[in-house]
Amino acid sequence: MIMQGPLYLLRHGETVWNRAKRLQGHKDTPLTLKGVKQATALGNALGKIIEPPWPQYFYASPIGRARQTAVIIADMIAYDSEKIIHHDSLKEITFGNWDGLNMEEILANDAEKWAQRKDAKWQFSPPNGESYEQAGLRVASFFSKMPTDHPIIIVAHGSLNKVIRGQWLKLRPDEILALDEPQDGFYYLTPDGKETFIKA
Amino acid sequence: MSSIIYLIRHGETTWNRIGRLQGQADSPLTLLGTRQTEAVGRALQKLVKNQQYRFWCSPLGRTRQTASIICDVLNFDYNDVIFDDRLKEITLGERDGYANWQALLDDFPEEMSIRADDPWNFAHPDGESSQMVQDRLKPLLDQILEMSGAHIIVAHGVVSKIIRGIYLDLSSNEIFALTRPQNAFHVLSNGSVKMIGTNLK
Repeated sequence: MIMQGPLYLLRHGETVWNRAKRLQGHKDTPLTLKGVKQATALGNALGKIIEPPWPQYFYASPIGRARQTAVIIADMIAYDSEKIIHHDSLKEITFGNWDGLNMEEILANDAEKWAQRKDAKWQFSPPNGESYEQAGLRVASFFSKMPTDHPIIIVAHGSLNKVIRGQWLKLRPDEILALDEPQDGFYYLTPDGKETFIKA
Repeated sequence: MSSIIYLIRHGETTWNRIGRLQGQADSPLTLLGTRQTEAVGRALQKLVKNQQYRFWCSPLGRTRQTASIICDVLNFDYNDVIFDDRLKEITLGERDGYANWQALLDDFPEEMSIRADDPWNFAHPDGESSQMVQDRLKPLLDQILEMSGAHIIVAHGVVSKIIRGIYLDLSSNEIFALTRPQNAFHVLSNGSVKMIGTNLK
C-alpha cells in the first residue's frame, strides 16, 4: 500500500447489537442514541483537524450503520452527503452463519468450530463466513484502485478497520488481531506509515 | 378503557433533504433528523412517563433508526418494538427513489395527468394507491384501538396522514391537506388529534 495522502479512518457509532454484544457482520441494527452522539462527536473532531484542499474523497461501507454514521459525520464537516461513495470492499468481515448471534448462541451451536478459530484466527472462516485473510485481499484490492494523492475519509467497521490499519502500518496478523476498535475516536493515518488516535 | 396513540414520523433523511422520493426505498437520517428525533423523544417522554405502552414501528431503515433513538430516550427496550409491515410507507413501485416530483411530471406526463384526475386511487407502476395504503392500515388501527391503552407508532409521512384520516374519518382531500412534520408528533385520543411540537425546525 503506497499512499501519498492521509487517511481519516472512522468506525460507525454504537449500535443496538454492539450494546447487546451480538456479532453483526453483514447484518445490521440501527445506531443507539449513544452511537448517534459518538458519530456527531467524531464529525466534530474530524472537522477540527481535517486539512484543505477540498474535495476530499469520502468513502463508506454500504451497510446501514456505516451509512448512517457517514451522513452524520458529513453533515458535521459540511461535506455533501450525496457525494459519499459506498464501496462493497469496505463491508464488515462477515461471520456467515454467526452474524447476529451472541457468544452463548455460537457456543451452543458451534462450539467445535469456535475452538478451531482459536488456533488460527487469521485464516479461520466461520461457516459461510469470511476470514481476516480474505478480508485483507479485498482491502488491498480497494486501495490499489484508490486515488493516492488526496486526503481520504473512510467510515467502516471494527474488524475491517483493523485490517486497513494493519496494511497501512505493515503489521503482522497477530498484531492486527490485537488492535482496538474504538467508537469514541478515530485514526489518522499518514503517508509515513504511522497512525495517530484522535479522541472525539 | 380508551386508547391513546402517539404517532411519530421518522426524522429528516438525506433524500428528504434533496427531495428524492423514498417510498419503500430508504436513506439515512441527516444530522438534523437525529436531532429532531431526539427532541421528539424528549417531548414524548414527558407524556408517557410512568405509563405502560406498546411500541409499533415500520420495518424500514429510517424508522428503525428513529425508533432506536426514541427507545433510548424513553429507556424502552428496542427488542420489545413490534415491527409491522403494514406501517411501511406507500410505495411508488418503479418510481421509489426517483429524483423528485418535478422529474416525475417531466418524464411521465401521461401517468401524472391520470393521477391528477383521481390522486387518491392512483398508483405508480407496481406501486400502491392511497386507498390501498388505507386498506392495509385500517385493520391495524382497529387492532390497536381494540387493545386500548397507550401506543407509540413510528412510521412515515403518508402513513401518518392516512392513520389520522381514518381516525378522524376525513375525506381524501382533507387527508392530502394534512401536514407531516418531522419536528413534532401527533397524539390521537378521545376522537381528536393534537400536534405536540419541539423547539427544533
